[in-house]
Amino acid sequence: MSFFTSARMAVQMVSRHKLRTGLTMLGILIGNAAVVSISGFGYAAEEMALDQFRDLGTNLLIVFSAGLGLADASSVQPITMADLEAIIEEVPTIGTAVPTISTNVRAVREGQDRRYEATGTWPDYLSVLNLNMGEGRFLSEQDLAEQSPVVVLGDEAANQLFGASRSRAVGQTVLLNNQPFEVVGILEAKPTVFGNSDSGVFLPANVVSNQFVGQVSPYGTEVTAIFASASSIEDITAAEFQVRNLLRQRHGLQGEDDFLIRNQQVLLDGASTIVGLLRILLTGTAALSLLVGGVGIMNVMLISVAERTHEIGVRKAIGADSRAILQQFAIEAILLASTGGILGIALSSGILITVRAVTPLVTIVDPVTVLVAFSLSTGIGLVFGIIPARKAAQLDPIEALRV
Amino acid sequence: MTSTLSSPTLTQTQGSLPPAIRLQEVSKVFALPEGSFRALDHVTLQIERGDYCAIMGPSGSGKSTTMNIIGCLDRPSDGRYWLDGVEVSTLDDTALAHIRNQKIGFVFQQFHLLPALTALENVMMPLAYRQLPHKEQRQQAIRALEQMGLGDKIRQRPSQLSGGQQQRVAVARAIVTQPTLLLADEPTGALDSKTSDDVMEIFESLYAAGMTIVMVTHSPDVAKMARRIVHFADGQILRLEQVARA
Repeated sequence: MSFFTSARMAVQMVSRHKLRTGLTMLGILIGNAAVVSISGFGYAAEEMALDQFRDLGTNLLIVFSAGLGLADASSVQPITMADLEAIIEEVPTIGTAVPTISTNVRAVREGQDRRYEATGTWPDYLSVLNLNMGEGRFLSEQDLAEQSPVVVLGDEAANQLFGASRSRAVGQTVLLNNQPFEVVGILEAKPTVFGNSDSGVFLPANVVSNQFVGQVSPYGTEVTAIFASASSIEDITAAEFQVRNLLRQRHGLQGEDDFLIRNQQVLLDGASTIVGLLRILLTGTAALSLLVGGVGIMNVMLISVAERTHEIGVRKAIGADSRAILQQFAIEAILLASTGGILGIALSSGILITVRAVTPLVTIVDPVTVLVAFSLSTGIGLVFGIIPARKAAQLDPIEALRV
Repeated sequence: MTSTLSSPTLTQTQGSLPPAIRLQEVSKVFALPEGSFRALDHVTLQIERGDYCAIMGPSGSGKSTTMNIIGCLDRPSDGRYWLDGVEVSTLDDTALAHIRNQKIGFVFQQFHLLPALTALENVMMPLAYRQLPHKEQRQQAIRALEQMGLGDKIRQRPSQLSGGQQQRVAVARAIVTQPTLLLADEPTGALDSKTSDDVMEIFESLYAAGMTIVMVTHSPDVAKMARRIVHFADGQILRLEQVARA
């Protein structure tokens, strides 16, 4: 019995029993659709998450005081404005660097009384963190020079303080720790990793240090962190090394660092690993449904063998040997599984392509996932199809004809 | 006890060709929970080529077991069986399947057509197992159906055909391979008298064309259409009856 003849008979029987075929394929169809779409949506989610990290600038170094967990905390020197100035002057691979001096402030305006994290910084903060203005302007050099009482609001802070009238917020006055500040701008909404620009307020660095923090350590003006961008992404490792050396020298360190440097690339890699793992986990869970689909095929095929005992008897009486029956049933199972697989892949691809076209989600039809899902479903069809096929092949023609 | 039936004078012997069927001392014993049951007891029977033979007997007489052994659906427990000169009693399942496909055409009481397939596809099926090219299968199947007067029904499913038409499709499926032997098990059992007559007419014309026909029936009227009747009782051949033709 040639494979081709068995295949022709399998196609004939599968195509003639549409309901049975449809029901058998359903499990595999859903399984494949689930695997391919979860993988596709997972990719979109991964890209979306990573984009947010990338927006922060992958060439970003963040330097802050270590403090906690060191053997001798009393010897820890804070990070200061002098450190920042030294980095800018002495590290050639650093393009721009800005300080952040953070403290909590009470903001009052027309019945609103809230607390926000105030960040004192420099005008370049906007470019270093890849932020955009929603309205108005950011802090200027002049603001710094004159220690102007101006404030830039985060998007959420602007909503909370101004509500419906936020479009007229620029030029208005807000009381920060009972001192009047003019709102000069509102940041565009954007999720961030360090702090939250949306729910913060931004002031000239020297205004925060002089008016709100109000203390100068023996080492000079303390800063909460330094945000430094390397000249290019390739320079990031060199920049980190040079900044570390410089700070160790300035802090006169022999042992452990008393500061921490976070590299944006490391965060990006970490996030990528986590999101990737999540995607694999989800896709794996979906792949389980393929297995369930396979069991479904086996069940329907087993029932089908019982139902088709008469057919098997007739086929054997007119000359089909056991191998021909085995071949036909195995091919039917593979055919059901692979057709179910193709339909599932087509369905999910359609969904993914449509979602990509009409939403901002960058969903993809991952060819590797498609290939793996298809091979898996066909393999499952073969494995789970063999048991009923063997059962069919072993039927005694006389017994089968009596049914 | 040995039952023997070999009467070459009553058959249409065709030259030196081997007999269509030769059973020698064939027994069949079934193992049952309550002990073994001897369904056939040393049966010896020879049916020549071109013979038209009916097997009759009450339930449990061994006629169905004989039919299954002659049809290569079962093997004797003891004794030897030659089909068309080839000893088939020792063949394995695969070889028996091959013999069934090459040398035997079955017609069953319940037609045993596959309901999902058209008349044409049902008739093509034995040729497919013979691995004939699809086009040839189709041509031969159409010819067989036309021979049965069903040239206009080839695309009908069995459910769209009458009982008589279904049995004619089954006969077409049985003869499409041009077998040595046409084996019919109660071929008119599910038909009314008019369509029974039609089917028996077809058998008569096949016999006239030289086909060897063996038919199991419990209807004396149907059995009388054959040229010889073999009466079975208790797993043995009781007697041979030569049918008188008008």
